[in-house]
Amino acid sequence: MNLKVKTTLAIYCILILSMLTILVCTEDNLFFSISIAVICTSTGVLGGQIIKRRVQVLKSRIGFLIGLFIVSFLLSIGIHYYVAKEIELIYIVLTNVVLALVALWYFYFFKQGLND
Amino acid sequence: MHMKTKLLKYVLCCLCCSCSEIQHDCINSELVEKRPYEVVRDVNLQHELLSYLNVAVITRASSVVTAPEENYDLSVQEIYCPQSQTSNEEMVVVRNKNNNNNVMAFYKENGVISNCLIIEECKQDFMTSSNETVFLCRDGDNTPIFKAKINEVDHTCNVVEIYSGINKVQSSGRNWGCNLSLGVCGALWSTAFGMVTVGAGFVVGIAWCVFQTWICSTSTTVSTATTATTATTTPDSTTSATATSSSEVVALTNGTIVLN
Repeated sequence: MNLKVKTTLAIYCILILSMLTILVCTEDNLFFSISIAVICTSTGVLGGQIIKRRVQVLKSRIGFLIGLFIVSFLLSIGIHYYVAKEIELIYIVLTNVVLALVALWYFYFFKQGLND
Repeated sequence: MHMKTKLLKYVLCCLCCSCSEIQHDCINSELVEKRPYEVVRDVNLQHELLSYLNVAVITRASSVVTAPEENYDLSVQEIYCPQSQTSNEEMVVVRNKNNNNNVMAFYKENGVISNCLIIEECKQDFMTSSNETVFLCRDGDNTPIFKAKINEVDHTCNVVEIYSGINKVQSSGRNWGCNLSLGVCGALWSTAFGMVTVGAGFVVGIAWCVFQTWICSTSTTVSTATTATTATTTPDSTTSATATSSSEVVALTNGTIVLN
């Protein structure tokens, strides 16, 4: 493990611990939302970098995006229903659609993607 | 010498008298009954409320009410519904200087203020008789939360009805549903973008954080944490008369009404 990886992991751990502290201690909704968002997204980026080297073969970008959209949508709906006992479709659908379109634009505009 | 003795006797007598008065007061204070409802002007309680406001309320999103100590009359405190002689719970209410219907309720447990709730438009709807006053408390969106009846003769306070608005107050606070669902969603998409490049993942992550914070923090109406003890609801509006009993006590703890 080289120095760059070690530094990245150290920064990630500090960030996660800080956000967990805020998550547990804060009574403010704003900081509560920020902490969960940062924990989820930073873990996602780090996980993506780790998976990147292992997932070498993806047959289709479109298929990947559609699959990701469906999984993300269902998971979000399921969690929201399980926790809040209600379903709010609008913002979950919208956010997933926007991200899928951004991903499509990114892959095809920059000619760079998961299979490169 | 004789004068000195007299003076010493006089001083000793004064001391003894003052001590006996203090002792008498102490004994009396132990015997003071805890009344279910009373209006007091307690300077110590005022300082207690003020210190709580300075350390606690400012950190809450309910600080939409700016400088609450300036807007609310902390010098007059209404103490509602202690549970019993040995109760450890009570609610202290202070009213807005400009609008008497806006109240700030402090929940005290074991003599320590643990929570505060600002209720706007706590309307004194009507007088049922010359001796009873009925309060209908609503939140900022005018959703009714509970109705309480205060008997000004025997100084009792009873919760008559609790409306479905209580669910709104209880479910508010940390919006776990929104945050978790969008958080998982963001984690998945960040993973996908992170697989492409770190930069793309970083940009999407930052954008997602801003978006999720905006969506989830604005969807909460009342900012309170939820660490209530037990909550009993009586949503049936037709049973207002039968729901009244002397053992019912209302207390607000972190936005939750507790019936004991």
